[in-house]
Amino acid sequence: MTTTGDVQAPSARTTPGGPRQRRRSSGVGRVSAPVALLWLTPAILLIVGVVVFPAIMLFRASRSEYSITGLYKGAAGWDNYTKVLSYPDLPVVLKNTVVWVVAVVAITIVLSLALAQLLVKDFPGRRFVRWAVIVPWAASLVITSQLFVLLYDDNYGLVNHVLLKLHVISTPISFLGDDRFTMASMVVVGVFVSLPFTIFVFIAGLNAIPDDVMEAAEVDGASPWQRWRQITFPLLRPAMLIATVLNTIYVFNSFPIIYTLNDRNPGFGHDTLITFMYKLAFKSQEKDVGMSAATGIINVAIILVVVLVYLKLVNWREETSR
Amino acid sequence: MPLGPEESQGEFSMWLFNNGGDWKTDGTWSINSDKNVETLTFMKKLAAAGLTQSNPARTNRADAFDLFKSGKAGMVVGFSPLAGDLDKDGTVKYAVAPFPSNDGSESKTFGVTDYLMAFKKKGNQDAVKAFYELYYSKDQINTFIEKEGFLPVTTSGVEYFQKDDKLKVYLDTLPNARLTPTDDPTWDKVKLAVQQNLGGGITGDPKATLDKLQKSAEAGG
Repeated sequence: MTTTGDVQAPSARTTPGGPRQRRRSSGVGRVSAPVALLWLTPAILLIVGVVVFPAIMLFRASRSEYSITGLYKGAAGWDNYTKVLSYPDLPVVLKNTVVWVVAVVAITIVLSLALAQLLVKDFPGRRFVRWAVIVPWAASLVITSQLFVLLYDDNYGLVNHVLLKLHVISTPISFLGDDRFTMASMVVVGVFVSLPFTIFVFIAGLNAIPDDVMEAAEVDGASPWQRWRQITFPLLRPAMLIATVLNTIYVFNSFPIIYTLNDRNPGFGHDTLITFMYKLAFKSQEKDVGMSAATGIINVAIILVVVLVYLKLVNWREETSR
Repeated sequence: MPLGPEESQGEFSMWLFNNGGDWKTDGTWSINSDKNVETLTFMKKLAAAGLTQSNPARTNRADAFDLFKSGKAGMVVGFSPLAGDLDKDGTVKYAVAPFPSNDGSESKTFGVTDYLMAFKKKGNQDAVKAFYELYYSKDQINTFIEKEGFLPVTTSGVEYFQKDDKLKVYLDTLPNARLTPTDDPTWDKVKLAVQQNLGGGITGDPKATLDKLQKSAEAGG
């Protein structure tokens, strides 16, 4: 079994006697309501200021009418919602959103599982590889996207250059301008930037699996595949849950990748709900802040429903009460 | 030939003006006029024949300029700041020529407009008038234009800049400058619709694309 060296028993430091008794009597993790409130005030203020208040303003904006220069022109009732829901390009945008989220999250999870499995093993240069894995996470999304725009370029992009030199293709592919490749090209970038976080969630999950369970399985004669399938995988469920839910939210809300890689394409052919929302307010002929706000509300509702359904499906309560 | 969402209305304007078309004729929208359909069909033909960069319907202006700057495109519909960049880089040899017109008439150039706005208040009119007189006085406007690398809009300005050989081609076409209908408030929306949809006329049907734009312009954008 692998020994990582950083496995220490934290309980070894507590000495039996006085301290433990005192802690038990005061009740670990319990404070009175006023004290709790005092500590929570900054956080509550922050949440009210940057989450609740803007949410209320967004809802108000979604029920208002604005001129194309953004001037408030009065209440609009639910008009903005009907206009968005009957928008001719909405079906395409919804389809793009589903493809984008499902493809990026699924591919990310599968690749991350494999890579995390490799990165928990001890090998020369592991430290370097782990650092290298973090880099896409640390770089700004716009910079990463812009780099991929250059890589994908059909005139001077590296990808086409390599493919041409290897005689895989005879003419350059317009990865971002050709409808057949645009979404796939964006998904690659989406996966690339989602990998680091997901890999580290899985590394943490793998490290949390007790060695003795593995040893017991080995003694019982379980094959490597059986050990992975019947021990590692079930014990990774909490990590899997976190990775899936958080990635779904991040990927759904991802703006820079799609906006940067898709900026040459007219119309809404490759937009997801997030860039659709932006374009409604600033780029489309509607140029309507109200419709954009309504889309924002719809987006929040969609992601909430999706996450709740997912948590329901995987028995969230059972998992977290473990 | 950049017809991507960044500035496709500008690119198309230059082609359609030089084919005798216009966005509006006698006060009504003429986006889908025969001349304009002919223009866009011609552009589609150029693209289909492979005479343009790949994917003209999905190229933004800045990217098209980069192609020319790096020597990948042999011809580009540019403007004076691009020439400034090219002189600075010094990587490609180039010459400036006026846009050819289909019927052999004098070349029409595309003028970009910006607004100077003032509030409608009593007494303001005199102030605005005084400002304009100062702004367009020879010394003021010519210095401003020279520093910014723009082109003159006054007759005296055109004379003043004759001294600069590099600007000669631009100056000769200036009297024939044509503008987009920026004085129509609907244009702001029509422009956005054109930017987002014109490329569809290169990949799809030019007439259908222009018909749709015409309909949305008539409906008030």
